[in-house]
Amino acid sequence: MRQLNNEEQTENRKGQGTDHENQTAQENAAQGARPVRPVRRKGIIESIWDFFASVPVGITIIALLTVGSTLGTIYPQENAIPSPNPEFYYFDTYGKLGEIYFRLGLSHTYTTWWYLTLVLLLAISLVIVSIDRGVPLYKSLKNQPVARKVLAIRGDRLYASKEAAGEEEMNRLGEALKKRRYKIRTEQGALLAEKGRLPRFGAYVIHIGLLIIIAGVFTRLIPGWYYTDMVWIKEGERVPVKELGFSLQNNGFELEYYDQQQTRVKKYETDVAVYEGDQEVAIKHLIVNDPLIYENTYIFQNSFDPSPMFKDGEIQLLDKATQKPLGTFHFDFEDPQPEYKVGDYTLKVVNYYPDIRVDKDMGIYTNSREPYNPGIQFDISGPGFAEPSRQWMMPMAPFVEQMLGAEYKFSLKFQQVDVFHMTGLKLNRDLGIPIVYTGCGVTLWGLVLVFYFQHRRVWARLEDGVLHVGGHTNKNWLGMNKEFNRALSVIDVEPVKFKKK
Amino acid sequence: MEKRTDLSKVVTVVILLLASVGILWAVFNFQNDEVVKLELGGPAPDFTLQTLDGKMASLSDYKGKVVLVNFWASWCQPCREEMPAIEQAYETYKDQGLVVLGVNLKEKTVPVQGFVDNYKLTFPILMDTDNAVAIDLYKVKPIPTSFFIDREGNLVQKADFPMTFEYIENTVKPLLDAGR
Amino acid sequence: MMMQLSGFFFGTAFFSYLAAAILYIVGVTGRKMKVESKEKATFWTKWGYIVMVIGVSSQAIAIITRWVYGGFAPVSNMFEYMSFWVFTIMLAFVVINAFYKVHVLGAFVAPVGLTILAYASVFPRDVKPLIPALQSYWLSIHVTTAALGEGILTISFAAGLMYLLVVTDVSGKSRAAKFLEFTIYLFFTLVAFILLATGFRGAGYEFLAGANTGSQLLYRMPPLAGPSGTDLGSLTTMAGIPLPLIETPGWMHGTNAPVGFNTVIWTIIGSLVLYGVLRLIARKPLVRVISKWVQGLDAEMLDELSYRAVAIGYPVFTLGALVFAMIWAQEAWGSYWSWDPKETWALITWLYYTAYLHLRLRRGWEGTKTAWMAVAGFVVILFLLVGVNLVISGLHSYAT
Repeated sequence: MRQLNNEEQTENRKGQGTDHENQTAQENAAQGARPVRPVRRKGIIESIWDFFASVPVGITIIALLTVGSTLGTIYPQENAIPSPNPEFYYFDTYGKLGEIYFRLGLSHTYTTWWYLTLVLLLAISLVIVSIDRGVPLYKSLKNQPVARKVLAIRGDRLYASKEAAGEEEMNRLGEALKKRRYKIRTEQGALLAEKGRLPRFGAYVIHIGLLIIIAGVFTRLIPGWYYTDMVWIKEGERVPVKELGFSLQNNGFELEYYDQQQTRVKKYETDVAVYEGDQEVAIKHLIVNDPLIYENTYIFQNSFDPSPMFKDGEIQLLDKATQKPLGTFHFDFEDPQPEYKVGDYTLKVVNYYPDIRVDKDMGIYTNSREPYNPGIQFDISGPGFAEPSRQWMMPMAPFVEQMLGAEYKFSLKFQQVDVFHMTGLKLNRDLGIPIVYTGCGVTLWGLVLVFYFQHRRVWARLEDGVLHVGGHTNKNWLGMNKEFNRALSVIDVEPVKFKKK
Repeated sequence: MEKRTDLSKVVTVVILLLASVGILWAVFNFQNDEVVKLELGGPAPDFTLQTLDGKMASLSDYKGKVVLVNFWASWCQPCREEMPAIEQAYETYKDQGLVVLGVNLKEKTVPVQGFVDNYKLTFPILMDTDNAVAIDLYKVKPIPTSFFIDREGNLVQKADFPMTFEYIENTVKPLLDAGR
Repeated sequence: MMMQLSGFFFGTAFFSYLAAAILYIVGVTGRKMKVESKEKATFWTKWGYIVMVIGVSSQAIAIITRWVYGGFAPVSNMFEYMSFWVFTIMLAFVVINAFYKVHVLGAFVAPVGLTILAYASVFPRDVKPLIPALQSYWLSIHVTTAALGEGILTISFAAGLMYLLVVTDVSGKSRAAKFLEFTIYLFFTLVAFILLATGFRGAGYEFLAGANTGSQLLYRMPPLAGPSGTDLGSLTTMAGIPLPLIETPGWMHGTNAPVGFNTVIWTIIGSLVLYGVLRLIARKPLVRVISKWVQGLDAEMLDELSYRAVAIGYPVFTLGALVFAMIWAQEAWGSYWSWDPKETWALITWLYYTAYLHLRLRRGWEGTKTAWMAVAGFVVILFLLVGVNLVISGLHSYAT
C-alpha cells in the first residue's frame, strides 16, 4: 500500500503540469461560471478533485448522513402520519417541539435540499475516490515487474530460500503454485505468481455498487419511470388510475380474524381485476406479500378499512301498534331512491345521511360520503293516515325512537343487511428497481471480495545458485503461510513462519 | 499520458457537478410540478353537468352574467358553514346578474336533495359524479373552493376557504358593476 | 408437546448461559488465573466454554421446536427476536472462540447475552399467529440474517471493551477510566431496568391511571411520575407513600409519555441503587475490579478480534438488514425503502460501521479509538433493535 501511495502522489504531481489541451477543457468547464483568472482555473478543478478524493472528507459526508438520518426518526415523517395536514398535525400531536420540527423541514428530512445534497456529495466522492485510487492501483498491478530485488524479497514477511537451486526448482515451484490457481509469469531467473487480483478492487466494486443504487433511486426523476399511489376501492367498484391508463375493480374482499374479538387479523384478500377501457386484462386473488404485476406496475394488497360499510338490505315495514307486517322493500345504502312503495304505503326519503352524526352545536350532518353509519328520515304515508308519519331509522342506533323521545306509528326492521369493506391497494411502478437490485448485488459482491478473499503473490528469484522466495498477501497471513509452505515443500524447503509486523 | 489524466479529471469533475446540480434541480422541479394551479385571469374552462333535477347545464349557458362556481360536499364541515352566506348573496344579487352554480362532489341525488331542502338552497346544484370538473378541470384541492367568473367568462378570483357574505359581496359587486 | 419441549430447552439454554457466565467470571477472577499462563484456558473457563456450547445447542433446539410448533420462524415478536439475537451472539462467540481461544471474552459475552435474554423474557412469550404482513418466507430469511450480523457485531463490542480495559490505566483518574466506569454503569442501568420490569411484572403490578377519564394510562411500575396536570399524591400509594411524587413535564407530548418517563425514573433510581451496592461491596470503582480480569491479555489480539468481528459481521448485516429488507419491503409494502424508523436505523447502523471501516482501513485508526467506536456501536445496535420499538413506532411496530 505504501508503494501505491507514492504512485498516487506522482499521479497528482503530474497533474500540475500545464498544457494547451487541458486549458481548453477547463475553459469549457468554466463557461457560465463567474470569470476566474486563467492561472487559478487549474487550481480549482484540482482542489475540487483533491477535496472529494480525500478520505476525511468522505468520512465526514458519511458522518453527516448518519446524523442527518437520525433527525428524521425523531418524529414520524409526513408520509407516515395519519393526517393530510402536517402543518397542524405536528403541533397537535407533539406540541411546541413538533411545531419546530415541522418548521425546520425535518418532517420530510429525506427530501430536504441538504439531505439530497449530502447524498449527491457522497456519490461524487465515490466516483472520484474510485478513479483516484483504483486507476493507479490497476496500472501499478498491471505493470508490476516479475523480477524484484533479492533484498526486497528478503524483507517480505514470508521469506524462504533454497541453496543450490536452479531454474528447475523454480519451475517446479511455479507448477506447484499453478495447481493452486496462481497465475505465473516468468523471466530469466525470476518468477511472479499471483492470484486474487480482483479482491484488491473490492472496495471500488462496493463503491460502484452503491453508485448504481443511488442512480437507480434517482431514475424516478425520469418522466414515466416512477408512479406510486394508494387506491381505496369498495366491493364491486371500479376506480380509474388516470396516470397509468387503466382501471382497477374490486370483485370481492375477504377479511378474517384469528379471534372472536377481532383483535388480530388473519388475512385480508381482494379479488382484483385490471381493466383497459372495458376490457378485462388481468385478474388476481390479491393477498399481502404477493402483488399483481401488470405492465411493470405492481399492485399490492396494502391495507383495508376496518370499519364496515352498509351495502344494501331488506327493510320490513310494520304497524307499530299491532306489529302486523305491511311488506318489505330493498334499500341500497350507497344510492337510495327518493321513494319506496310497500303495498299501499309510500315511504319518501326526506333526508339521508350516509355517515350520520348528531351534535349539539352542529346539528345533524354526515361525516363522510360512505355509508358507515347511515341515517334515513322517512315520510311514511298510506291509507288511514291524514298526515305522513316522519320517522328516523338508523341501523347502528336501533333505539333512535326512544333516544329522541318520539312516538312513531310504524316500525322499520332490517331483515338482512349486507356490509362490505373498502380494500386499500397500493400501486407502485418503479422502473428503477432492477437497477437498485443490481447495485445491491454488486455491493454484496464487493463486500465478499473485500472481506472474504485475498490478493496473494509469491516472488522467486535466482541469484548465485540460491532461490529466494517471498510471499505477500493483503490479509489472512495464516492461510497464506500454509499455502506458502505447501508449495515450497515440493522443492524440499522447510516450513517457515511469517514475521510479525 | 499527462494530458489524458488531467483532461479526464476535468471532464469527470465537470460532469459530476453538472449532473448533481441537474438532479437537484429536477428533484425540486418535480416536487413543484405536483401542484398544478389554474391560471387566474384567463377564460374559465367550460363544462356541462347534470343538475339535481335532472337537466343539463353548462357554464357557457350563463355567458354575460357573473358566475360564482362553488365546489362543495355535504360531509365537509366548512362547506356547510358557508352555505347560508352563498344563498344570501345569491338572493341579494341574482337580479343584478349573479349566478351561483353549486358543484357537488360525487354525492348521490337523495342525500344532496335532503341537504338542499334543509338549507333551503335556491341556486342550481350540479352533480360532478366523478370529480372530473373539480379535480381535472379546476384543480380543486381542498373544499370548499369557489371561483368568481366575470361577465366575459374570465376567471377573476379563487377562494379556497369558507366565505362570508361580506367577502362574496365585496368580490361580486365590482364584477356586477363592470360591463353594465 | 412441541411447545413444552421448546420451553424446556429454552430453560436449559438460559441456565446454561447463567452457569457459563458464573464459570467464566469465577475463572477470570479466581486465583488460578494469575498463576497460570493467561492464554491457556483454566479449568473454569474450559468448562464455561463447554456449558456455553450446551446452551447454544439447547437454544437451537428450542428455536427449531418452536418453529415446528408455530409453522414459522420464531422471530416475529420482541421476545422471539431478542432471544434469537442472543442466540446469534452466543453462536458467534462459540465459533470465534474456537479460532481465537480468547476465553476471557466469555466473561463479557455470557453476562451481556444473559442480560438481553432476561430482558427478552419480560415480553409476552406465547406463540401468536402471524398477521398477514409477516406471512412470508422473507420473515425467516431477513430477520435471521440481520440478527446474525448484529450478533457478530456484538462480539466486536465485547472485544473492544476488553481491549479498553486492558490498555487503560484504571488506577488513576484519567478521562478514559471515567468513561469506562460510566460504560459499566450503563450496563447496570440495563440490568436494573430488566430487574425492575421483570420484578413488577412477576408480581403482577398494574395501575390504571385516569380510569374514568378519556386518557387512560396503564402503569406497570408504581407511578412516581403522574400525567401532567395530576395533583401530586392523588393517584395511589406505595408502601404508604402517596403517589405520584412528581408531574411529567408538559412538553413530553406523546400519548404514553408519562409511563415512559416513569419507567426512566425507576430505572435511574434502580441503577443507582444497584451500582451503589456493588460499589460498596467492591470499595473501589468497578472498572478496577473488572480490569483485573483481563490483565495480561494480548491487547493487540483483542484489537484484531474486535476488527475481525466487524469485518465478518458488516457484510452479513448488509445482506440481512438492508438488502433482504429491501427486497421484502418491495414485496410486502410496495416500496423497497419507506424511511420507516427501523429501516432508517438499520441504515444509520450501516453508515456507522462504514465510517468505522474507513477510519480503520484508510485512516489507520487502531486500538483505543476504534475500540471506543466498537463500544458505541453496541449502543447503536441496541437502539436499532430495542430502542426503535420502544421509543419510536412505525411500520415495524407490529414486532412488539
